[in-house]
Amino acid sequence: MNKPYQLFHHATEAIRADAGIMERAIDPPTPTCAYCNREWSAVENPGVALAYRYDTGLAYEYLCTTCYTPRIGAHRMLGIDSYRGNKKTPCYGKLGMLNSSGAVITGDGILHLALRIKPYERFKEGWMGRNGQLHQCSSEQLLIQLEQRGRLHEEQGFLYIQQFGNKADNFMAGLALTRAKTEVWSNSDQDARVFDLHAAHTLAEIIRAHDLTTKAKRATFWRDIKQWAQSGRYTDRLVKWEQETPGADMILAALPADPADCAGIDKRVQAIIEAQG
Amino acid sequence: MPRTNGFNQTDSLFRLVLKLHAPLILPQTTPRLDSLLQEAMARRHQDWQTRHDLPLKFDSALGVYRASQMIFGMTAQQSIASSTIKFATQEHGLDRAKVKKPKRRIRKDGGIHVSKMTSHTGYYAPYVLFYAQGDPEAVERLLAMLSGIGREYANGFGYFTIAQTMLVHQGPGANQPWRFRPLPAGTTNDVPFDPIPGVAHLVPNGEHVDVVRPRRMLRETMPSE
Repeated sequence: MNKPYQLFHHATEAIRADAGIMERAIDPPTPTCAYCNREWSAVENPGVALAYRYDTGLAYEYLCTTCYTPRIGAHRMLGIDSYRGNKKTPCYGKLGMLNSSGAVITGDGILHLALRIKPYERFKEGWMGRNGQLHQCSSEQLLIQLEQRGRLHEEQGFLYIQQFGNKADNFMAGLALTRAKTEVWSNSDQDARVFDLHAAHTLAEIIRAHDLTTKAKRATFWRDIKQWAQSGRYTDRLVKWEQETPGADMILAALPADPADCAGIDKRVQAIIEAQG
Repeated sequence: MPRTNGFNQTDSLFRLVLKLHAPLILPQTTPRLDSLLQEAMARRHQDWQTRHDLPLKFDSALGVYRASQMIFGMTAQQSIASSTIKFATQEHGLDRAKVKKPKRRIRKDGGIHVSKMTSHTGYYAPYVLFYAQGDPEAVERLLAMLSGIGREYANGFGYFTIAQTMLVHQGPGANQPWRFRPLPAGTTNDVPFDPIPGVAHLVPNGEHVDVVRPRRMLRETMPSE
């Protein structure tokens, strides 16, 4: 019943196989995995633990193979991240070190990474880069692009990773699977959040229908709406915006129910408009 | 009427309104009334392992207590607001006694390490509501043992007081408001919401099973104060 972990495990199988981590496996000395808190019988490789510590002098944490994955240097899948020390020792790219980069894992277990320009340039020669699984865009743009190409299916479920962040324990502890586009789980090393992709599509349609696509690219178009949605304050500026904007009542009605979701609604709608051309 | 565990098992359909005094941090699964009452019973008996009898009607056909998940209550004057709340997270499974050389000390107030804090969304609404069928007086008595709801309730988040319990008229079977909760997978036609497939426990301390559930955040507009 741990579908998000199964999907993550399936999508990252090659990273673990390349690193040969099973040679370092030990019998679990703790009742549960330190990150996902699942019992050792319920994890993807039952009864197998890996010891990890952040630095010498710090205590070991015992992790299941799935939660250990962000700590593995993916030398074949990603490639060299940097060279360290006087001897220029190569340091391989790790999922857990891709701060401010995100990913989407489709229902059939394909990992697509959304990278910024510098990590993209570093890793584009790796296996994932050559296989078309690296994308130079934001994680939200990647999600919308894959949705447009019909790669995301609600029945199968998919994993949307907004960013891997720098706290792999937090990231792995709360992995959540998306089963409906009205409630997309945004996994990150922060607290898990949900957003309504369906509402963003509705808003994009309304904006397109009222010929507001150019205006909707400006931050000022969204400023007062977002403030209203997040705090419930109905300002004079919003009244003026309503008077000036055709279809304003429809836009306000189509905003997501969750006020926290409205914080990023502008970027989401802009990405949809951009993807639709 | 049969008595269970000292409660008068009545079949009243009621709405429980809680006044919210502090921002609430939603856990991954939205809190339900039966889970809250289970926690209150566990505290009363100092036993968190047993599944206690609750003063709610048990629906044997669905295998659930007739109790809804939490619904945010808004008024015409006050809507729901959200803000970001940052605090340090636990070090999962790390034996602190064995930590010899912590690299950094994370201060509660953030300080220069504020970026190391984990951000959470805090919601503030005037009320939160539950719909349920059972004994409203016993439910109130039990809920008085709890002071907070949601994550970090021990630190004051989600602090509530009971504002009102009122009986509501029974609607048609499938539209009864207590059904706004996870229900067994396959009951898609008998639910008053757009079903989202998921995994949850149907009864407190139960096994995780496939379910259909409403959205994580539900809202309802209430009459003005």
